[in-house]
Amino acid sequence: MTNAVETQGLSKHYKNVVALEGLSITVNPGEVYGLIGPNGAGKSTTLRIVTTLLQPTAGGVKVFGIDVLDKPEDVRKIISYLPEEAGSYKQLTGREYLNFMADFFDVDDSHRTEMVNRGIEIAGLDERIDDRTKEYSKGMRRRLLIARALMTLPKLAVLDEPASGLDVKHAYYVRGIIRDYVKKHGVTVLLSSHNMLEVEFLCDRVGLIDEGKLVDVGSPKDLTRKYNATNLEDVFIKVTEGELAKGTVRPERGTGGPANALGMKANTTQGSDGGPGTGEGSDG
Amino acid sequence: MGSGLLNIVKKEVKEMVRDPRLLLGMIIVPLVMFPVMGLAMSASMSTVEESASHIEIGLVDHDMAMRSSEFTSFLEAREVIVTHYTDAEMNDFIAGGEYDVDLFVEIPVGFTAEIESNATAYVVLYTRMETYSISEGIPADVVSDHVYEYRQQLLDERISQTYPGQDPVLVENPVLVSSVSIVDGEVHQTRPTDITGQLMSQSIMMPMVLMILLILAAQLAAVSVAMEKEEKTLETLLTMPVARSSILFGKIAGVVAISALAVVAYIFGFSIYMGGMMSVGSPGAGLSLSDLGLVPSLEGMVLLLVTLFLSLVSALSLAVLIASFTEDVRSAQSLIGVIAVPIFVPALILMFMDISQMPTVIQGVIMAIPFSYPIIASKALYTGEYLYVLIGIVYQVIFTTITIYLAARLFSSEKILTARLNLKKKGGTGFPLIDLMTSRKKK
Repeated sequence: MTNAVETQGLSKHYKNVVALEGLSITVNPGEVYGLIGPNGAGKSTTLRIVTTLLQPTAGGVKVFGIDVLDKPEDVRKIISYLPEEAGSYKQLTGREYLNFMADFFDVDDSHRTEMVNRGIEIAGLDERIDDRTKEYSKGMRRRLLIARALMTLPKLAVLDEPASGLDVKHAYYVRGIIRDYVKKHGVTVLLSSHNMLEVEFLCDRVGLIDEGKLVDVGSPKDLTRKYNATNLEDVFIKVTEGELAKGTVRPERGTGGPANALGMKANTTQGSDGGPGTGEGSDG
Repeated sequence: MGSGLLNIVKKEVKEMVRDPRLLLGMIIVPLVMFPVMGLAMSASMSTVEESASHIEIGLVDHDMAMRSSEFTSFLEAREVIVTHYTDAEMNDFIAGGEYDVDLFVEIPVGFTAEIESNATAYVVLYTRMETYSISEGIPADVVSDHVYEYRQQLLDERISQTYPGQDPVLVENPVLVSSVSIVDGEVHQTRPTDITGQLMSQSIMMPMVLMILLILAAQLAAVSVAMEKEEKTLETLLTMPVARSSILFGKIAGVVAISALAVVAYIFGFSIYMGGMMSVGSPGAGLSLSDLGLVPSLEGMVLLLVTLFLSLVSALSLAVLIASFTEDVRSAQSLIGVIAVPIFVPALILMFMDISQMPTVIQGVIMAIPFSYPIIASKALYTGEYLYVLIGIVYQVIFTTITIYLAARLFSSEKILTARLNLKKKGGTGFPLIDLMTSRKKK
């Protein structure tokens, strides 16, 4: 069976920064794969390369067997990408935004209507779907963007920090959508998150990356067992000990279980989100 | 990906039309501002004319002799309403007293005697400045004109006495000038500056207005790209199944569509403005260019439209290219100011000089700027000298192709996301295009 995502020795170098160094991961069809790692580890860079936005300095990527470098147009037809910081067109209504995005897909009118209706259902904004998105709260906008990413039933959905910065209610909603909807339609998901408990809740497998390299991979259960940890957060801390010594990750431990995490806006590792240059944006 | 292109165009137009700031600047301002300016101009001019035709003066006659009463009747014959006042009342007027007159006119003692003895007599006009508006000075000017006419009458009288039986007008004018302008081999009794003035207002002002529009359109295109970056919508758009070139052309086509609407608004507003201006008189007003055989040729009009369209597309692609290096709308807008300079400078120079009269270096600079050609073409409308226009069109096509190519390259590479304009950056030249090209070479 063809892998949903396969990266081979992926490297990305900027002038003075090595964002990725020989990263090789494999995502199986239908699974939810989470990339975790400290700030600047290369998570967003990986996602941007997979989604055809950036070109690797070395190595290759295939999405469902299609080479991202050779046929980016073909890859864009079967993926959807939700960037960590994404906006909507403020002068368009939620419905118009979904229609605009649906129009890029080469499907007949009835399928397009179906697509948009699905998006409206996922967003769950009721009558507010006909308001201009400039009137939306951050949570509402994120729900609209998630809906846009999932309404097309992509073969691969790439979600960068899907619930980042959302309050309890909206974060809960977004995670619920990802878990239920994606499983129901067999969509493969590659996501990144700082929220370990969110990852534990959503992901079938997790890839731990640090300094642009894959450190370990496995199911949340296997990893916690392997590192003799109580949860994925403990695993993360143990794996990134080197980073701890450098002081880039705060050595605090969360106490909540997965149920608690669903409602938490941020967990302890998110406390390290720092000023300019240390955020995820800087690794892309 | 034709449908993708159309989809982008529709989105761009929808966004622009719904943005109140934009609608105000490009459609409402020209539709309202120009006509209002024109109406205000003609209204204020007719107010001035009105005040010039109804002048009321307070007359203080110290002379009380033949010439002073002759002068008073002379004024009254020219519809000046004269009320007699005393010296004390005039002093009260000077001190701020209210009198229902525009100004006071004082005829000093000895007015008649001076005139009769072939010496110079004076009339003193007192205008109290209160509003400092142009119309406040008009009555004194009108009375001065009447004094000048009276002086002419006295002069004719003296000449008739000295040279009996001769026409005073001929005696007064030993030499005069008669200016003839030759247009296409035909002789016209018109001053050349009247013709150029008229041509300027009809054929140069419109392209100038279109140049303003060109800058607005460039701003629009730049904002459209910068907005995608500032609002974080670009990354998503770039991962959609649509050709990157469709995103670029969709943005440009959207702005062209809105600009076309704005052109109509500007032309409509401007023609009302010019109508208002023309009615009050400008150099060469009343001079019909078509009577002189100066009719814009059809091929000239077509060439003008072609150069305008090419200027628009090259300005827009340049604007998109520049905006791609910025992170937000504000920096994009200020960078577009850089384009505004080459748009305006040649236009201004070409208004006063023909390209063929310029020193070679300046000629080269002006011809290197693709935005000069609409002005050159608008002059060629009447001269029929299409050589520079044709050269310009070829040059504009090359320039536009290169700019679009660079913009398309930028859009299809990751540079659209990663290119940053940082003038302080070490190693950067400060010129984004050069930095882009050198960074590409390194790769």
